[in-house]
Amino acid sequence: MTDSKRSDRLERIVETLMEPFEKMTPEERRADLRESGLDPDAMVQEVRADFARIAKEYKQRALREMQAGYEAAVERFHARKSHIPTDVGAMQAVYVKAQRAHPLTVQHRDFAGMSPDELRQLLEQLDALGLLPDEEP
Amino acid sequence: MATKRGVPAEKKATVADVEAAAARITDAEIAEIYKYAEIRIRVIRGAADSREPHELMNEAFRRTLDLTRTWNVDKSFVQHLRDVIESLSGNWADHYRVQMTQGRDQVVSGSDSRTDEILAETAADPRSEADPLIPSDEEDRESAILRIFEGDQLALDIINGRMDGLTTDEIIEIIGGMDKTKYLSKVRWMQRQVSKAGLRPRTKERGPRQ
Repeated sequence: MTDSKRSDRLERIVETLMEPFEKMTPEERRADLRESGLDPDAMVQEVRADFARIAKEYKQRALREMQAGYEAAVERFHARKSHIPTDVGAMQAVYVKAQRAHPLTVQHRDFAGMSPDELRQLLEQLDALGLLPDEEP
Repeated sequence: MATKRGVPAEKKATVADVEAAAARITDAEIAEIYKYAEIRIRVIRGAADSREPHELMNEAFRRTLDLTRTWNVDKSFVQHLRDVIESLSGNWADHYRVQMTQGRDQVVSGSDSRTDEILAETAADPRSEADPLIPSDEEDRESAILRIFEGDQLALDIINGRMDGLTTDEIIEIIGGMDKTKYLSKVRWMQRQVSKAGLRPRTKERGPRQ
């Protein structure tokens, strides 16, 4: 006999033994549990408490994982090597390259009225989004 | 059997669905799942060691909640948990079988200390012989259960009939002279015998291990 058939036959034994309990009313189920030496109320309370604890643990774990993911992203952001030059002319050249590679809509695209600090901030934002061109070797 | 395969995406329960179902579950349904877990544990006695129905229920719920066991929302939550319990306890039994087989093989070929320990524990445990639900090497779990009802032809007919795929009504008809109430009463008695036969002191109450 294959393992699968063996396991099916065993499951039918379990189903057979479960049948009387399935046919019982809620009160009869309580009585049956009591007869087997169990306090049905305590058992139900324990199961509910266990399920609540498991749900809480699951949420806490999910929250911890999210927090760890966020912290890792922040760390990666701070650890990244900046490609932004310090010279204004070079910064403008990097921006023009980025604009050619990606459809960017930015105010003052001709740099008129944009201070070097504003230009740097703009490049930093593009860098964080991964939109700056790679450094040429 | 609860598997991810075959469950359409729109039928897969979310974490919120599982939480809501757990909040809605009735006391009678909890009793049903508990009873099912208890019977499963009794039937795979030995493989379940000293585990309790609560552990099986908690594990089934945990795996449903973290979505490693997909719940198809078209199926009742209770049936789903029963399916996961069936699968988990089946895995325990398989693992136990492999563990014992490997243990025997390694004993023959020189063995390692851990499997020797497992075999020594089993051999040294006086309840191994006393517990009819722990199959010997030569017999399987099914035979171990049948052994409990040796001499009780009605019980054996019921179990054999069901294992061969007969329905309750067919068995009642074939046996004759018995109505559904008497049948259920007999099966309830049989369930108690299985529970009693599978009762073993817990691990912590065992004597010192050798």
